[in-house]
Amino acid sequence: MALNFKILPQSSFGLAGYWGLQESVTIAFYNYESNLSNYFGIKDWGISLQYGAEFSGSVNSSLYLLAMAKKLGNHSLSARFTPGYQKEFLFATGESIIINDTTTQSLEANYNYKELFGLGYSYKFDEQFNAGLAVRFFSQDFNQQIVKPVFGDTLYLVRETIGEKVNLWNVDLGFDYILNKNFQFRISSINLINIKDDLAIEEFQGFEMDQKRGALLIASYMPAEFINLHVLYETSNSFQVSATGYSKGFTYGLTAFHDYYQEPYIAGVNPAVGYRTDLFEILLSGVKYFSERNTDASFSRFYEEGINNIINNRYSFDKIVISMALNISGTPEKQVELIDVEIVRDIYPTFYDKYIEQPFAYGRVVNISDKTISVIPSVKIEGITADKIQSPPQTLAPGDTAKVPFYLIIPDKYMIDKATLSYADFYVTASSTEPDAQLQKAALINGMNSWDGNVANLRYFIKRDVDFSMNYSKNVISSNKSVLDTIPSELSAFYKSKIIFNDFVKMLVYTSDPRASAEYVQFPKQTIELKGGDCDDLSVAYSSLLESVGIQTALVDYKEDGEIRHVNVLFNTELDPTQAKYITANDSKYFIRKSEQGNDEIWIPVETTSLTDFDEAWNIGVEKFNREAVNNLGLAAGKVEIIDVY
Amino acid sequence: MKKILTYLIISTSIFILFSCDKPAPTQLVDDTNNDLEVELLNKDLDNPSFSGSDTSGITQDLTGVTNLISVSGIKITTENRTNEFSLAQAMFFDKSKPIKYSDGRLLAFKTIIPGTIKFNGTEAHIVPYRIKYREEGTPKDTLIGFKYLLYNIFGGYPDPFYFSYNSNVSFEFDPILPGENISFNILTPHQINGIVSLSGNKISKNLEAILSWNGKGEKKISVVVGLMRQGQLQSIPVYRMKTPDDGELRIPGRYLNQLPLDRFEKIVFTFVRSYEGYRGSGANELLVSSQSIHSIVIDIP
Repeated sequence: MALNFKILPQSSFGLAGYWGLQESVTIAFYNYESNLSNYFGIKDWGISLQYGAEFSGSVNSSLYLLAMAKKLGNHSLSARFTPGYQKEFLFATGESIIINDTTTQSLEANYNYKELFGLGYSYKFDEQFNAGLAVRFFSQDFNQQIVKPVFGDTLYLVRETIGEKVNLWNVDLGFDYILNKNFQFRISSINLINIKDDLAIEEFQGFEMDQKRGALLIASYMPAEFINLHVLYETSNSFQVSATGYSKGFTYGLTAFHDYYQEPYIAGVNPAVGYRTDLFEILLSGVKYFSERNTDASFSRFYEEGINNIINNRYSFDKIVISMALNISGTPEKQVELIDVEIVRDIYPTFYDKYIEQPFAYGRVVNISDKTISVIPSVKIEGITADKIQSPPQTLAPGDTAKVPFYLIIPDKYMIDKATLSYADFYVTASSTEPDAQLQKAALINGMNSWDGNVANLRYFIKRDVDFSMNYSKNVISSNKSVLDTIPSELSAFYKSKIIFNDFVKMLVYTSDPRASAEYVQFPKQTIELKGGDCDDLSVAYSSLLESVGIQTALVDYKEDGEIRHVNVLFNTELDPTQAKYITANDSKYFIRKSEQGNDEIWIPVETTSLTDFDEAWNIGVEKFNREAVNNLGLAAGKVEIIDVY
Repeated sequence: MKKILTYLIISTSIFILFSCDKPAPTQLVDDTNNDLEVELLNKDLDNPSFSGSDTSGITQDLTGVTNLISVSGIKITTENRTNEFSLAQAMFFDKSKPIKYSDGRLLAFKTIIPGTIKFNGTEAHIVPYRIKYREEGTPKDTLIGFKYLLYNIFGGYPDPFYFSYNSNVSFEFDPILPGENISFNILTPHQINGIVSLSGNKISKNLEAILSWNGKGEKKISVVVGLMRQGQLQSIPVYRMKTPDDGELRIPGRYLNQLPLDRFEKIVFTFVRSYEGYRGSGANELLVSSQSIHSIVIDIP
């Protein structure tokens, strides 16, 4: 029969009108018609139904839609059952038989087009972009009386009914782009992928739903919550213009639609008014067509032009629809919002416990609830922490905004060679185990040898290879046992330090940091294995070797030495000032520092970059210390600082 | 509260689901010309009771007709050869003299010869009028009287009567009894020229016939589908199909494939475009009929 029949599956028409993307309205988002990306404003579970009546002379009530939706983080799933999305046509086939020579009996047909159910999935990539797909199942029931000659002993005509059910699946994609609070855009496909059964009975051929591909483009302008404007355009040359709003719990909207396949130019309107709370939403809407609607219509027009939409076509009747939606949230209400996060410190994995004391980031949070809440900030960094690292809770009064610190622990065994750009997920949790809000920021994770230039942080390099250093030092000491056995025990620390230094330096050369990475520090093992290093590396290595055998050390930070900052080592000889004569007659070659117990102890500076012998390194170290720290008042002015390793 | 609302909405949905109606259907009114009225003309193809698909085109039951004047332009196409004929006849029935079957049912009425009749100025012959019928399975025929007849098979032979298409045929009646002569013109239809495209074959039971003709868009035409046995010249009419005169008809395959075609050699499609009208009333009522007939005889593939 007809080859150009135009019965199309659903497109952009929803029984509640068009509402845009705002999450203040839930109901409209179960409609895949205008929301193929099916992103909807529920918190956890949502149930929605649309029930209405059609005025076709008589009143027919129908359950148009029953839907469920579930949000899982950034994923949204929905399923809907649409028993009322159907349109039935009854007509005479044009064929008739003459019975008993006089009576003519016409043959009738009944074609019913239905959308039975749909499934939707969407993913929210970020606050600006989400995408989804909708799969819908359509069924076409064709039933028709035919005359069939039956030849037995005689020939006679029998009237029988033939029928066929043809199923059709339709998959469409939709994308939403939220430019900002005021402008939102959507694009969706129409009939992108179609899978359908083959039609077997020739009488019905040409009456199947057509599956012409198209697109749906939507733009929304939302200057204020109480007035939103939307324009929706279908490539079939149909459009909708909609004004919606939300104020003090009330929702309202009016959509006017132009349908290419219907008259007049503005074929009808969808007014709607409703009320919503966080828990439920109820909306009364209607469809008013501006052309006269009858239960009888021309077959030839149906045959030539078809219909382009099951629930909105030239044969559709005025409707009144009540929509109800329920937000069933397994998770508590959101109580806190994370406005922004500022990362204040780069992450140096070697400083493994530094960020327990000093936050590496601060977030700005606001209490959006009406009660005082305790906010727990936490952070998870991809590649570093498997779990969220919680920071101490902060108490916030209703409506208050506060700056909350994010602390971090880096696992001991974490290793990274080169600096890497990673992502830090910041969470704030107020009332349950699930975060109320989260933000993601890029974070630079430095390599293990990276250093922030703060001499105090060199201690992390000193402590890291303590096992190696201990082995090294003990080997050196044991190989010099005979010498050490001959000296008084009070001088043990001094001579051990001297022997270790002389052994340590005999194979080393001074080498600068690699180019373009001035803040590069070697671990002691690396320095010894690589046979060289700069002042940082040599001071770290020497300090580590002494500390590993119980000799107390400190780093001397010469903050200004020309343009180059310098570090060398002080160690504790554990001699009191009266014993200084055993190591030197020159009282300017040592310094007296008080121990924790309040005793005076002799410390001597060693210039670790002087790779000749201990005495030379001591002399250079003393000379520099006296000049910079004492004579130039560097210690008093803060230009020279002594930093104890432990 | 949430639980109560959840149960409420689910139970409401279930209640609504089982209590509500279907959306209202739309009744489409057939305003197309695609209608097809099918009448079965013979139930028993071995012993046809109805032989009416003769070349005159008079196939209907005549018991309800008082008097009949019929003029026909006839073409018969067999293979690639087409023969043309003209035919004019008139029958006048005496309603007081019924002829009945043995069970009392009315078969026909006796005919009378009320005077002289001329078609296009040529006087019609008065010939015996014999009808065939079947009673209790037995074919019978009976003479019901006489009728007026003119026919032209070829070049004015045997009668110089020529049927003009889309024109008229003059009719004159001169009664035997005292009274005025009656004369009028009988309008004739456009000539009908049919083409049959028969595809498929009877073994596969996938025969399909697409008929086309020079459609004039006026009223309806009839197509009589008949079957011919091997070696016989007369067809057994099976269906009469009435369809708008729009030039094309696809006969649904089921009408042909269910017939016992293996017993028949040829299939005949007879296109009939006719004008009919009544004149007078009561005992003088006259059915005036003119038709263009084109029969196409095809071997069943």
